[in-house]
Amino acid sequence: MTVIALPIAEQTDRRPVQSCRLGDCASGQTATVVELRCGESEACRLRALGLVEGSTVNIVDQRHCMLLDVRGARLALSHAITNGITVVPSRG
Amino acid sequence: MTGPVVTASASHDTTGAAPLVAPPVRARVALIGNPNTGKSTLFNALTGMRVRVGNFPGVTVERVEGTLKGAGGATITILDLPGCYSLSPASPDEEIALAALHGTHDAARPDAVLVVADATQLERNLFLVSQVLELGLPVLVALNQVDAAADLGITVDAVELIHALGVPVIPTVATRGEGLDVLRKALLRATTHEVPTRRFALRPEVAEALAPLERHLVATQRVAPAVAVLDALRLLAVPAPESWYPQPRELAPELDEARIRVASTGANPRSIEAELRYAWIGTVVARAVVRRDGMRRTTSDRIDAVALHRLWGPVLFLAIMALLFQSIFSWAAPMQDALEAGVGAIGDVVGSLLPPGDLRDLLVRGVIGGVGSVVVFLPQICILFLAIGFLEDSGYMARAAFLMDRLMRRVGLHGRSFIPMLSGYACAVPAIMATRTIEESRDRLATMMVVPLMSCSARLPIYTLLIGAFVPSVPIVGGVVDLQGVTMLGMYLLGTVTALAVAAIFRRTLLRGPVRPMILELPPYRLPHWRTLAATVWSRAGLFLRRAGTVILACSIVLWALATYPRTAPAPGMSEAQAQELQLERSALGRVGHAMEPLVAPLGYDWKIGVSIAASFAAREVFVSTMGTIYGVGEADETSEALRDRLRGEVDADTGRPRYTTLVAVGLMVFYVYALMCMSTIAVTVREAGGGRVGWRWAAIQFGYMLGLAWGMAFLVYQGGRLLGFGG
Repeated sequence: MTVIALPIAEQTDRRPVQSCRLGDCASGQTATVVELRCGESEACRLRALGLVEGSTVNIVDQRHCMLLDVRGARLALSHAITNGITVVPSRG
Repeated sequence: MTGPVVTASASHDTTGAAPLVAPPVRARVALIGNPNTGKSTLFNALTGMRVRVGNFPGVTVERVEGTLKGAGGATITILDLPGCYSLSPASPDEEIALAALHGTHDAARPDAVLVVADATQLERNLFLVSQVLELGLPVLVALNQVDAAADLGITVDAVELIHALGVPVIPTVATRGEGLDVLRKALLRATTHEVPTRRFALRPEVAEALAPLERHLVATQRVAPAVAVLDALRLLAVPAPESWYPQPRELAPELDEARIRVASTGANPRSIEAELRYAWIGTVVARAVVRRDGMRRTTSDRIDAVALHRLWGPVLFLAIMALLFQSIFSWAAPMQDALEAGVGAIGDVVGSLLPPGDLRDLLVRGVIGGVGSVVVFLPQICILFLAIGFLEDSGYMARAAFLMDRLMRRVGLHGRSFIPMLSGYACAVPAIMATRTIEESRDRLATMMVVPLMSCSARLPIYTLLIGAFVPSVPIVGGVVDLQGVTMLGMYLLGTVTALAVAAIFRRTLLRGPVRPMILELPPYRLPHWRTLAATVWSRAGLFLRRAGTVILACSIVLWALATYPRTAPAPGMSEAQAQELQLERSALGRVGHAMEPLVAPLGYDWKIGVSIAASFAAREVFVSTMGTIYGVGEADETSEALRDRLRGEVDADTGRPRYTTLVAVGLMVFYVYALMCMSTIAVTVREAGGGRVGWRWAAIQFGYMLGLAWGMAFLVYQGGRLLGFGG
C-alpha cells in the first residue's frame, strides 16, 4: 500500500506542465490528481470517496464513461466530471 | 450542536451504598457505514426480526430500529442509519445520518456509535470512521468482510488498527455470524468505553486562519469546544452548512471569510479536511494493512468486462429485465390464483354462516371482497422485492443504473430511476417504494410522480374488457400481429412515453435543478445473503399489508355503503339484475354518478360510466366489477362475454344509436392509462414523499395532474375522433 504524499502546503505549484484532464487519460494509465473543478457537492463527494488532490487513481476502463480504481474501490464517473479533474499521468 | 455525552449506562453509582446488582443497561447505539459494507446483514444478524420501520420526521428516508437483548435485561436499541460515505453531507441520506448522530432530528443523541468498515476497502471506509471518531461519542468498529478481504489477498491487523484508532475493533463476517458474539458483548458495554480524543495538528498559519471560525462556532452556533476545529474543517468543505445551526445567517459570512483566510495560507479550504484525513488514513493503512501485490484485475472486473460492455452489457441487462418481468407476471400467477381462491373460500364460509342481510353483504362483498382484491397482489410484491433485493445486494443494480444513466439523463432523471419505473408495470406501490435507491431527493420525487403512469397490472382487466368488446380482432402487418394486441401495446407505450415526458416537465418546473453528473461506486459482485433478502421481503410485505390494506379496507366499506344505501325496494316482477341496477341508480353512489354526468359527458360517457369511474377511485379494477353490477350480469370479469354483449348492445335512448362506440372505448382506456385511481398508490406516495403535509401535497399534485391529463386526453381522443369522422 502506497502512502500518499500530501501537497497540502503549496497550492501554487499544483499545475505542472505535463498535467492533463483525467478524461483524456487512457485505460491502464495511473495518474495523480492535481485539481478538482466541478460542482461543490460533487467535489465534496469525490473527496470523501478518496479522490482527493494528491491521490493516485488507476484508469480501469475508458469507454462511454470512466471506470477508476480509487483506493481499491471502483468508481464510475461521467465525462462531465472527469473533464473537470486535472491529473498528472505517471505511466501509460 | 454537540451536546454533552449522555451515558445511558447506569452502572456508575457513586452514592456509597452501591447496589449489589447494577440496573440493566439501556442504551441507544447508532449503526453507520459506507454503502455495500454488509451493514444491513450485520443489523439483521444483531437484531433478528425485532425491527421497527418508520420515517425520519419530514424527510423521505426511512428510519429502522432494532433491539439487542443481553443478560439481566440489558437492552441495546440499534438505530440503522442510511449508508454514508462521509459526514460531509453530499446527499440527503448523509445529512440525515449526521443529524441523527448529533441528535438534531430526534430528541435523543445516541449513546454510542457502531461503525461498519469493509475490510476489502478499508482505506476508503476509514474516512467515515475518522469523522465518527470525533463526534464525542464512544465508538466501536466492526471490521466486516474479513473473509472477502483474505480472498483478495488483503490482511488487516486488527490489533494494529485498535492501537491506531484508539477504539475497539472487532473483525466480523456478518453473513456467517463470525465475530458477532464478541461484537454483542462489546455493544452491551459500549457506553462504558472511553470517548476517543485526538486532534489533527494543523500548520500554525492554517490553525490561525481557522481560529475565528472556531470561536464563532462555539460562541454563536453552540458547537462544543472539543469538536470545534473538526467542525470548522468539515464546514469548509461542504457545499452549504446544514440547517440545524442556530444562526445560519451569521455562519455563511464567517465561512466565506475563513475560506479566504485559509486560501491565503496556500492551502485549499475545500480539500484540506479530506487531505488531512487521507494523510492520516495513509499512516493507519501502512501500519495495519498488508496487501498482496499484483491484484489489479479482480473477478468483479472480469464480470464487468461483459456486464458493462457496449454491446453485451445492454443485452445482458435486457435479459435480466425480461426475467424479472417474467417472474412478476408468470411466477406470481399460481400464488395469486391460490390467494384469490382462498379469499373466495373465506367469503363463502362467512356467507354461509350469516343470514342474508346487510351485515353479510358488508362482510362478504365489502370487507373480504375489497381487501381480498388487494391481498392478491402480495405475491407480485414479494417477488418484485426479492428480485430487486437480489439485484441490489449482488451489486448488479449499480451496473444497471450505470447502463441506463445516459437514456434517463435526457429526461432529467438519474440512471437509478429506471428500475422503479420498470417495476411500475407490475404495481406502482412497490415501485414507489423502490425509489428509495435514488439518492437525490428531486430525482426521487420526479420518479415517484411519474411511476403511476406506467400501466400497472390493475389496468389490465379494463384494457382486456374494452378491447375485447370494441376492438375487432383483425390481423395486421401481414398477420404477424393482431389489432387487439397492438391496441394493448399502444396503451402501455402511451403511459411509458408520457411518464418520460412528464418527468422532463417536472425536472424543469417544480423539481428544477441540475441533473447531477454520475458519480457511482460499483461495489464488488457478491452472492446476496438469504437472511438479508428474507428480512427485506418480510418488512416490505408487512408494510404493504398494513398500510395499503388499512386504506383499502376503509375505502371498501365506504364504497359498499355508498352503493347499498339508501335502500330501494324493487318493483314487483323485477329480475334480480334489474333490482340491482335500480338499487345502484338510486344509491348514494348512483346519485354521484348522475351528478358527475356533466363532467363526463364531453368524454362521451353517461352516468353509468360515471358511477363506475367514481367507484374505481379507490382501485381501478373496481371499474369492471361495477360495470358488471350496473349491467346486471352478475359476477363480471374482464373476459365476461355477457358484459361485452351488453356494452355493445347498449343504445342511447335519445338518438337510438349505439351508446358505446370504439371511439368511446379507446377514450375510456386512455382515461385509465392516465388516471391515478388507486388508494394504495396515494397512501404510499404520501408516506414516501415525506409524510405529513409535505407528503399530502405531493400526493395531491400527483393525483391532480394525472386526473387532469386523463380528462384532457380522453376529451381529445373523443372530440378529436368525432371531428375526424370516427363516429361517436
